[in-house]
Amino acid sequence: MTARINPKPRNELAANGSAVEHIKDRSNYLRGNLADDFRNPLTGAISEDHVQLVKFHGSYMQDDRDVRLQRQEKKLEPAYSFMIRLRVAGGDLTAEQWVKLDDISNQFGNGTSRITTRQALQFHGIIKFDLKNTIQAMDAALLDSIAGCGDVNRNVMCTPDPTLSNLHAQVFPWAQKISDHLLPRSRAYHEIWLDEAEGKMLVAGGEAEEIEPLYGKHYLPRKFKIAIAIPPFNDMDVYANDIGLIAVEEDGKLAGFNVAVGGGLGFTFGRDDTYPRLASEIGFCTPEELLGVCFHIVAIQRDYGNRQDRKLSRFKYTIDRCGLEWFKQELNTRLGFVLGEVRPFKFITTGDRFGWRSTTDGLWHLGLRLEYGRVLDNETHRLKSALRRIAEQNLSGFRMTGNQNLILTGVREEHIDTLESILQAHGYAADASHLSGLRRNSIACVALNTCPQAMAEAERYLPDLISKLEVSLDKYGLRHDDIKIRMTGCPNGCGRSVLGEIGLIGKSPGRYHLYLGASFNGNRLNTLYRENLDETAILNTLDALFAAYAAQRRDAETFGDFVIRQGYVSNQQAS
Amino acid sequence: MLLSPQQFQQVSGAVRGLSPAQLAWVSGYLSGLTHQFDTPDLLPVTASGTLKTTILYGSQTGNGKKIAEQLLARLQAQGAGAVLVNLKDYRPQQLKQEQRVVLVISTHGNGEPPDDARAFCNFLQAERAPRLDTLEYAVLALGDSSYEEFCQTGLLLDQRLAELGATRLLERVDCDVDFASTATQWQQQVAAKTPATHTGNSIHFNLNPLVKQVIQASEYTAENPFRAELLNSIVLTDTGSDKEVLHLELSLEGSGIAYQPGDILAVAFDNDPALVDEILQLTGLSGNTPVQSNGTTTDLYSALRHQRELTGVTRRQLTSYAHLINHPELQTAAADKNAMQDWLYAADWLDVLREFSGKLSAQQLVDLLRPLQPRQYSIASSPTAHPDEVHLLVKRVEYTFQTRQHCGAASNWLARLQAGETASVHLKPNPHFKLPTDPQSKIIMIGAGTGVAPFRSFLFEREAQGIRGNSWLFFGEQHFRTDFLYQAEWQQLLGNGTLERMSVAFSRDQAEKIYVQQRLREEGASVWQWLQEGAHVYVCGDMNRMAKDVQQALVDIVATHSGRTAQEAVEWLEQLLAERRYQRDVY
Repeated sequence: MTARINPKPRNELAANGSAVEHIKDRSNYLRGNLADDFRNPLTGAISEDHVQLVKFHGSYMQDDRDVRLQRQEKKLEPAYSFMIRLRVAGGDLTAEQWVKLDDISNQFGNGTSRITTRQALQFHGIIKFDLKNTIQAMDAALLDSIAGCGDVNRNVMCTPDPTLSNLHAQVFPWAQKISDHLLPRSRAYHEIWLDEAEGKMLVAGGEAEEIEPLYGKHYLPRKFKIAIAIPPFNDMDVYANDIGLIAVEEDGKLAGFNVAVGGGLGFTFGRDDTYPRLASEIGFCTPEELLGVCFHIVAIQRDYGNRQDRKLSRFKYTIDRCGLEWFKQELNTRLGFVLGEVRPFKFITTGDRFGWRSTTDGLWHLGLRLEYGRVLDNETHRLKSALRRIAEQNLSGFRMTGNQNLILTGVREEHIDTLESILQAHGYAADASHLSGLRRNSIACVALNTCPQAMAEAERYLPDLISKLEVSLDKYGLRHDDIKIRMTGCPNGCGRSVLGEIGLIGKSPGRYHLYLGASFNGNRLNTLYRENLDETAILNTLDALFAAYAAQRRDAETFGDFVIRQGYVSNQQAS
Repeated sequence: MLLSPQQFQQVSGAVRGLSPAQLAWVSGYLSGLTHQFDTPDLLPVTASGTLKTTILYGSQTGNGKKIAEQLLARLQAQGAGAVLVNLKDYRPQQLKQEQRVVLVISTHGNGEPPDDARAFCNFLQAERAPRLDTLEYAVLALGDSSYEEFCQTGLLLDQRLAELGATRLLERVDCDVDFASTATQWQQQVAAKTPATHTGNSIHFNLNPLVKQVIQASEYTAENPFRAELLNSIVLTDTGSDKEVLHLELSLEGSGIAYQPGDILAVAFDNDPALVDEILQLTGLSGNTPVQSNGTTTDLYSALRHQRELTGVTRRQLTSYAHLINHPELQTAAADKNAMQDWLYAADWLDVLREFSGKLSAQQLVDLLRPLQPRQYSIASSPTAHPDEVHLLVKRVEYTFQTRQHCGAASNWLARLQAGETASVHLKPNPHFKLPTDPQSKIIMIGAGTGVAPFRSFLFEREAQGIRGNSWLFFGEQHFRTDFLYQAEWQQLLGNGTLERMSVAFSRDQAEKIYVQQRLREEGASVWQWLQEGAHVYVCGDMNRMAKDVQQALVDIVATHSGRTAQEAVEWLEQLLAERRYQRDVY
């Protein structure tokens, strides 16, 4: 085996490269003419090139789809605004940062913030003329949105709950290390948003490698996701990631990580060559080897990923096209060593745990359920104000989970009552035990009205749908059973709906495809069961399934396992 | 009509600017021509030689656009006359004038039209949709058969066009997601039915509408207004705005009113009946009391409702009133020019009668009030781009004074007007606010709020005449998000080069207030450069607030960049005024 330690990025525009490849190519390392376009006072939008480039800076251009037609009639352009997503490895924020971020959501955003399914925090509704101020305010909180979106390695996730395992403290810092290691190096973000003096302009040949030694001029073919889980908890849904890392404990210490590659959930309706795929376990590496392993996996995707058709450019398709065996060979060659054998482990759940728990250092941590990650005040509660108060009094740290929830970390025992009384005073329950098992295990993506991809509602609709489903659950005595339901407004997979025991994917306003049979621990995808259901059909269909489940399930059989055993859908477990 | 838009433009251009006497002569001349052709034998034949096919597409994903573009290329290749228009940019009123329309239209979700086609579909589905008896059409529907309402939009449009009297050129063709070969076959069928264009010009003189128009053109006045039907009324400002600005489209069809960009439309209106009732109640006068008003006998209610101004009060009126009711304090106050200025600005006659009550007869009240005058609005449409229509930009006036809601009489009357109802209008030519005669001259247009109306007219006129560039618009309003009047249209005009530059000031989007004059100063060097190059300057808007500040900014710019003293700069601008290169329409 010849070791090619570090193949350099090619820095050549791919033959027949997609439009986005051309945009990256002419962007001068993500600069384009963003600064000028953001100053154009005649429109709240930016050019198509810049729409693509600004993603690398952590932001998506969106418009309020609720008012699109009204504004068109009024001869106004759509109500454009920007979503900006912070990069927060492991979802870890200090109280001081939380206060500053809360200020941003009030001053520049739509008054809410949202915890994503990948432990990031994002703001919606920022108008073009405020985006620079927003980024500067984030910078003042020592936070940024570099690589929040775009064709790069995204926010690195890691099991956030410090009480899950005594291994946690050893594992958690690796999220930040991987994030730093794979961060784009271009200074475009600092120049455009933070007024840093212009550095190296577009240069030829060798110098380009200095600008982006990993990514090169064209970055990755598509987004890239990494997550670390600590068994037996798969709250990170590691198999949904391009690289899933599974921490392995031996003799009370972190021995290393099992490595899984090629996960990705998104697909496109009407394109049979697109599909969700769970990551395949390929081996084991030690902590010392981890950064190199991640770097080379990313570099292989950089070199071999499809740059012609963005629908086929995720890493999972590269692996299936070239073959898993080929990939292992290529990786081993580049590493100069062979990955170890996968070490045994077991996952039991993808869920979060709610309520108070303590760690051996005597600190307490509160798992707090949020409705689909939305931090806001509304008619029923004032969660946003409560969290701000808690942060202002510095009662806890703030750690975002992969299930859109929040852990208030490191609370001193004498502060528990204060913190609880703040939540209570704002109408928020510290504990989720009053909620149904279905609701506790639910995820919804943002969808309408801001997401341009959405074909149907998700976040704004799932709470009501669950209330209606709870009537059935009560009828069959299933209220307290953990059943995982996930809804997304499109098949792109932000809400990981193809990993729901019940998955609902929007097809058009008010209509959903119903998928069934994912495993509770996240190692099996679900299968399409019924198409284009409206609410009545969803309720009737699930009512019948719940009835059957209550009557015929075996012992602790989960809903996802039950529907497969009974033949409602076939088994999609990766072999 | 049987004239092509170009022909109509030529003819209307030929008679533009003629005096009533000249127009009368021309009408006789044309009438004579009509007689020459008035026998069936002599009628020129309108052959397919002049056939124009308009290809319209509405598409969310771009597939429809692609098919429409291919069809255009195919038709052009065989020498046929065809144009391609996105439904978003198509004024459905134009259908009446089309000979042949070919529609490529997709369906989304559960039978929804694409966003771009919504206005078009709504127009056709409306009860008031026009008859389209002379129209030929073909529909290619795009859809996805996995949805229940497959190709629904195409199906509905196809049915509706037939209902409205249009003739199917081809049976509708529905395409599924694998549309390529079906679409190609359909394109071939359309092409096979489309003959090449020959350059004949044939006009049906006996149907020439111009004859009628020219005869009537000079007839409409305040006394004899034209009853213009309201076609459409849109509130341009969005939810959350502090104001409400209306865009009104009125029909001039059959009126023969030929206006020019910069002209003004006078609109008659009635007072709010609620205000009349309150005044009658307050004064205790009976609405049935006979009074003399405008030289005729009528009853008090009618006089107050239809003939007398109730919403504006002048100092002179207040003085007369004070004498009449023998109110010494009010006499003193009214005599002082400053004392009641703010009060007078906001008050209406209900306020006067309530605060300074006194005994008054019905006739005395009527005599105090000024006759109701039609309100004048700068026309916002272009006669060439919007034939047979006139558009107005109207701010609805509404404010609270003395704890009571006050409503501007004319603007609220217009806001209440429903599509299909009519307004009494007549034209007020505005010869001192006209585009330069040389189409290549540069123009700088400065307008705040509804003052931007004539510039919409200017720019659409220049667009229709194919004039590109050499134009710079300064626009000011309160908020970018809610008050950017006509934003999408300016973007379109910038996109196609009709508008070269645009500078905007949104006064309330930041801590300090920013107005157009500040933008003007910031661009001082360029403004001076344009002036050096012969630019014409137009200012339209509020006299007291905006026009004065803009004048000062221009003086400063001229002084700064030409090295003149302030006085010399003022004189330089005076000269510009005298040369008609600096024109103002302020109110």
